[in-house]
Amino acid sequence: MKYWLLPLLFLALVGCGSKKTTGMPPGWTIEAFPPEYTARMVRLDRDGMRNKVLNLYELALEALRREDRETAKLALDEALLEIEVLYGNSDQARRARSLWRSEDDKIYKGDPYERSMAYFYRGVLFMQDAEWDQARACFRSAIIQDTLSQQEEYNADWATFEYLIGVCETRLGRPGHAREAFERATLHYAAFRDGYPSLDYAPRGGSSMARRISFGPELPGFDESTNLLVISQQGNAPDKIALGEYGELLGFAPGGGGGTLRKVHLDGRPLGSVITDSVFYQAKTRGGRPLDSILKGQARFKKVGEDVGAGSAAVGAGILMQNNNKEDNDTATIVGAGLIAFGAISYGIASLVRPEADTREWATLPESIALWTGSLPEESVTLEALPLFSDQTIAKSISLPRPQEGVEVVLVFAEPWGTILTRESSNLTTTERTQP
Amino acid sequence: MIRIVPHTTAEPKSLSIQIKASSNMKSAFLILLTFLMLFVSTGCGKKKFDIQDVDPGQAGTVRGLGPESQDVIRVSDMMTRSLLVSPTITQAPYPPTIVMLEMQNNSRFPFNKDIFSSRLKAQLNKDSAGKMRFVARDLVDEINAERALKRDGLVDYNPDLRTSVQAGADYFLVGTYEGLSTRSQKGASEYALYTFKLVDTETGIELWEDFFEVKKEGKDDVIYQ
Repeated sequence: MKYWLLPLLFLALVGCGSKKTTGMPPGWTIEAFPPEYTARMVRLDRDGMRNKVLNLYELALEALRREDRETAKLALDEALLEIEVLYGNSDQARRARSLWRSEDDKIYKGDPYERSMAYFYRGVLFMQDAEWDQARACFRSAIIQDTLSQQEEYNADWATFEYLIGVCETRLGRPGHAREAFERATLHYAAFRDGYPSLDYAPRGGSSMARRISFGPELPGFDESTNLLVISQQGNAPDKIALGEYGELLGFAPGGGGGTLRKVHLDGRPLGSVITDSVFYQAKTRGGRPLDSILKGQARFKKVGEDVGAGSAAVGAGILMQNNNKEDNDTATIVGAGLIAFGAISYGIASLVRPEADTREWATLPESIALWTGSLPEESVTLEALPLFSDQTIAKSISLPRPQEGVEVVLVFAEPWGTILTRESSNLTTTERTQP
Repeated sequence: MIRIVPHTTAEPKSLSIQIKASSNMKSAFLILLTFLMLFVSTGCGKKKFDIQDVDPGQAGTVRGLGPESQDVIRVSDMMTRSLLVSPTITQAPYPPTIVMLEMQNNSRFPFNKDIFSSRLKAQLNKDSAGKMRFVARDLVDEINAERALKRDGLVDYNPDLRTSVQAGADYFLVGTYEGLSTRSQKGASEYALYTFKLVDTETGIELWEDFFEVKKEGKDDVIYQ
């Protein structure tokens, strides 16, 4: 062996191992973002394409909670581009469907409710910039993500998005289209209000949340004179859980905290917002996925492989034990050993099958969305986000001046950060005070 | 290893050739192996995706159902040809002044609307050879500031070119993008309709209009449905 070949051999091996791709969108560098995002940007780079969209989702929401609209826009725009990519019969999609790879090997785009929420946040940011047609486009796409539910009644049934389309149409001077959108929103809201309390979510047994939600009698009104729209969010994202013997079924558990609304105050009084949607409800009512039948088939294959393996090995062992003391019985010994070997191979193949459902989730989403509309008086008002739990003591408030024209769109994260996001958040005085 | 043994009766010579041939073969094999490793290490048997220049007028390998570069180019090419032969332009007694309004997006895709307006305006300015003139409404403040500097005598200018105010528009040129989305288990379909029209700013009469339409279909893998 020539020694000079060794470095080349090393290079060859290293070259083959370095297929890693970055998840950083083109033109992005870690240094271009404020230092508080460094950890997320490193993860975005390190995780590659597989988790790119998930990392962008979480970056966007963190930016919104930091009142950093520009970073949120950048992250959402990149994520939405990836959402719209169609992976028809691509190599990576084929790999994710194969017996030997688990579903989470695929490039993450999120489940329909997560994709819808990404479009929702981008739409709200467009609303704050008074780009009503672009906002309407986002809410339409948010609805499109929710089509193809297993049960038709749950197809495209987000009340919030239809309502916000109605707001956009009103601002675009199309009252007829606005009225139609508000009517659709009302229908979806009624179905949600009736359907949510009876929703079955057994995995964690928590059924008290639905009872705690106090639904409003109807959606808030909106017309050309309305100049304040408050979109508040409560609670924690639903948890994705793997059910079934091999984790082949995707299930959802409520994240909780979505029912408490008395935490956003306007001039000292609780805002009478209406909870218009539950993220958990949307995740849960989506129903089965076409992929579920593939994963179920893989789980069955694994189960049969294991059973056949165990059975063959047991029979083989029995034959060997029975013939242990007999002489001149080579045939039985060969058959017994063969069955054990076959069982081991069958079990080994079964153990390589990966039917697990993908439980990667956008964990920073809220549980519920609530809407409130009103008309600001001539002077300014104070909007306050109070902590949800007693161990959190910081309340945030913002003084909102009456807008010169149009609508002030306020996005509130009621907890745990208490963010109040407006277009001019950075120019308005945000105060923090300690709860008594 | 395969050995080549020359067919000869001269025993000592045969031995020496055999040893030499064996050594050469070994070297050749190692060199071949090295090249093979280099090939594998650089390509790993799979073509990497590199950044490359492609024709923006053609659909590339990276596709989406929303507006794409070839749509921008086809829309502006088509609208330019149509508008420049319309009687509103060809029979105008003087080059009309036009303001390009912001495009309206009535689809489900948020996208950069300015790119349609920018390319269409640039192509019209280029191909019309002065048969129409666009008013830069996006620069109103800058133009007013420059006018003030000139009139204050702070910068030089030709007094013969002075106007009392900025130019008004004879026509508005306005575009709309509308979409129709369909989804089923078989895939996704998007129909897009681009319309542009020229509107008289005095009467509101639409003097010219044309459209471009395209339908795109695609299918996502079952793992994303």
